[in-house]
Amino acid sequence: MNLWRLARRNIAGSSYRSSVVFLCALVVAGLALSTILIVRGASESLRLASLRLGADIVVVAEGTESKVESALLMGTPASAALPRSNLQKIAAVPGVAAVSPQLYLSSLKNASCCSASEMFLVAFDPATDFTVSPWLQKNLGGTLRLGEAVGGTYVFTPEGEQNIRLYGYFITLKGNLEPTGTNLDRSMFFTLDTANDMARVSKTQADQPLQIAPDTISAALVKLGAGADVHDVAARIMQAVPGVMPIESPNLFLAFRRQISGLLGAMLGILSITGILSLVLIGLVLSMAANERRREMGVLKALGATRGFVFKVLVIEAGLLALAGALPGLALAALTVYLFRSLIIRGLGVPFLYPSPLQLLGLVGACIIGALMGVTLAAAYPAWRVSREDAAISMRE
Amino acid sequence: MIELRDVSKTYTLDGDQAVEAVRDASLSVSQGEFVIITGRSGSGKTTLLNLVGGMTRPTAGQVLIDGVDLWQLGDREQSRLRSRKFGFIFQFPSLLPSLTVLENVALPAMFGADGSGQEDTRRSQELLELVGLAEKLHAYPRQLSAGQQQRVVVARALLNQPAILLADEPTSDLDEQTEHEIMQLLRDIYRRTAITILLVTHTSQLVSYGSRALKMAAGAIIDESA
Amino acid sequence: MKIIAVLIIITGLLIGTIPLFTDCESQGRAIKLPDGRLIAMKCHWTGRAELALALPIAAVGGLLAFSRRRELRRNLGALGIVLGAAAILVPVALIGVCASSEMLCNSVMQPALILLGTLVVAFSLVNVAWPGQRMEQAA
Repeated sequence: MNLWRLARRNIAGSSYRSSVVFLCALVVAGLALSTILIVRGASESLRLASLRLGADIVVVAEGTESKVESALLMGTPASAALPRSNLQKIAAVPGVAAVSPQLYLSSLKNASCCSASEMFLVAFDPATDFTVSPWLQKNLGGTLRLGEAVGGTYVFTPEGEQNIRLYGYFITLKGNLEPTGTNLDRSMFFTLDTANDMARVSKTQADQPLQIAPDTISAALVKLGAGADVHDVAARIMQAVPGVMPIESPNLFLAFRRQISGLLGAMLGILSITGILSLVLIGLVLSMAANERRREMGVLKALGATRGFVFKVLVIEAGLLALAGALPGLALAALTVYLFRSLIIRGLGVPFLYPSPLQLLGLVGACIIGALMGVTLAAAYPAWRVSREDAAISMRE
Repeated sequence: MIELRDVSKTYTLDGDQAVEAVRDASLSVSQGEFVIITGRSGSGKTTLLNLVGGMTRPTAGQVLIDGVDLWQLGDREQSRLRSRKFGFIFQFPSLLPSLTVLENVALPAMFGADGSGQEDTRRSQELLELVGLAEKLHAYPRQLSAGQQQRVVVARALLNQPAILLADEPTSDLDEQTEHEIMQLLRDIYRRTAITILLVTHTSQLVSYGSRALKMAAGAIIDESA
Repeated sequence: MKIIAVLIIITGLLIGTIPLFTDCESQGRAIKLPDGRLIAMKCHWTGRAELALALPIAAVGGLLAFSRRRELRRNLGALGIVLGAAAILVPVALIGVCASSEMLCNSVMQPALILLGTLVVAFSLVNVAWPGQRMEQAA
């Protein structure tokens, strides 16, 4: 028999008290991890999406900012047109090191000529592109040819087929990009030449032809030169090019960032209230338990237990219960958020990226520490009180 | 062996009401004595026993065990001394309900014994055999009668081979026959070993089991007879 | 241990009833054949299979609630693990659900069944590992 074994036996012998602490720890730990996963998942997704675009400034037609952002993040179909001639004007602005156009398209919904319904399509200029091209260079050893594309992490060639059909045009999928948790994971990237070729073929092969207005683009992605100030350059672009809105990278997806902040606030509020109430309940239960067991602690002191021993045995019992409750709570939360991630994205209207196994382990570890600290703190005062009491007084009823 | 010098104990109840449980008690108990302390409820017998065992701090006076002032020791040393020198038998059911009989008897080894776990288990089994409960090793306290539980407590009290046994009304909740059995057991242990026993009871008929009798009233020792 | 048994019963009932409200047929969707007939999509058949599994799962829970013998509780726990695993495999591999994440069967029904199946496995594991020692020793 030792301190730990005694604590475990005492837990087993008091099922009602133990269950209350166990359940509180389970609920709070599970809720904490769910909150962290959702909020972190949304923030991380936005960060990676911004990185994927790779631009310091994204220039779109005035009034189309939220449409373009929604299209990129959530896949909401959007049409946004910017005159191609703006590219030269933007390139001439001091501080701009590179400008590259992108054209945003969408496959048809439930059409026989498209093997993917409402897929977001991004056409880029391989001569000036700096977003997808580095990945292409690294993974494919060069750029895409006519009729070739790379897809987000969830894009795949249909089973039994060699190509993906869009508007009756056959596209060869050359590879998949890393996940971002946004609609970019369900998007395809190909060159502007491929887009124009697709539009040509769609006139005879598609249910509806693909319309690409000549000399228009959807967005211009801007890379700044070393030392250039992003506010300064954005302001200059607005002055130099009428009718455009430059979105600075930190402000990219601002509406979604605000939504996530709002979500964070609400979820943290709920978590705090639940956490505080649970700790209060746990404290009450442990206080009652310590009171009920005063006589038992008095006997232990009579047998030779020090005050420190009595304190430790009560706190360890609480800690073990916290751990026993937190572990299944965390497992349940991790599994539930993972399984329902599509629903979370649709329900909350924010992008979401589930963490990697290592990151998840780190978050779980942090939650376990939090649960242990909270519960042992709740147990500390009643345990201290009982341990300091005269053994004779403890044993009196 | 045990010496109380002008020991007093005053309890402060709720509402600042003070109760003097023991008043200027002086007592000397030599090794090998079996002292029976009698008195009415509230006479201070239990408090006297608790003072001897270091279970409560005296308001005044000294408690000396083998010449060592108990309350000059720190908590750790006092606990160690208590586990090695004393064995306790309480009036109330004092077995830990979540442990088996064997585990309960072996419990003092956590605090006092220097032996290995195996030795402690062996000794626990021997003591349970001594008290006639060898077949109840793996039972839980709730599965035993009051008399059987008290026997287990006696076995537990002897685990660390203490020099002093303190028994606070060990038979008050038992029927006459069981009371006689427990007292017989204690007398057998007393006769076999050189153990010093202080036993508190409100039953004057039990005085005959001891080698010395004390009577208490209103917190003071009023009568002593060998 | 009775609590675990009750939880298994509840989980079993949920496994049987959730597909009734979340498969494509409940949302008014079906496959239209060239001759005009409507047939149910595979998520509907998954729901039927889950209903068939729900009954023995609930029965295992019921038997656990009233059984006092250790060996029996262990065996029922083992059976619960197998049934829980089957409840996971049906929507994931054996039959499946619709492929599009926009369908309710894909975003709600399938994850719910996987979660509930996992819970049945977990609760049953508890019975296998701790089949109620104290109950037996007291008896």
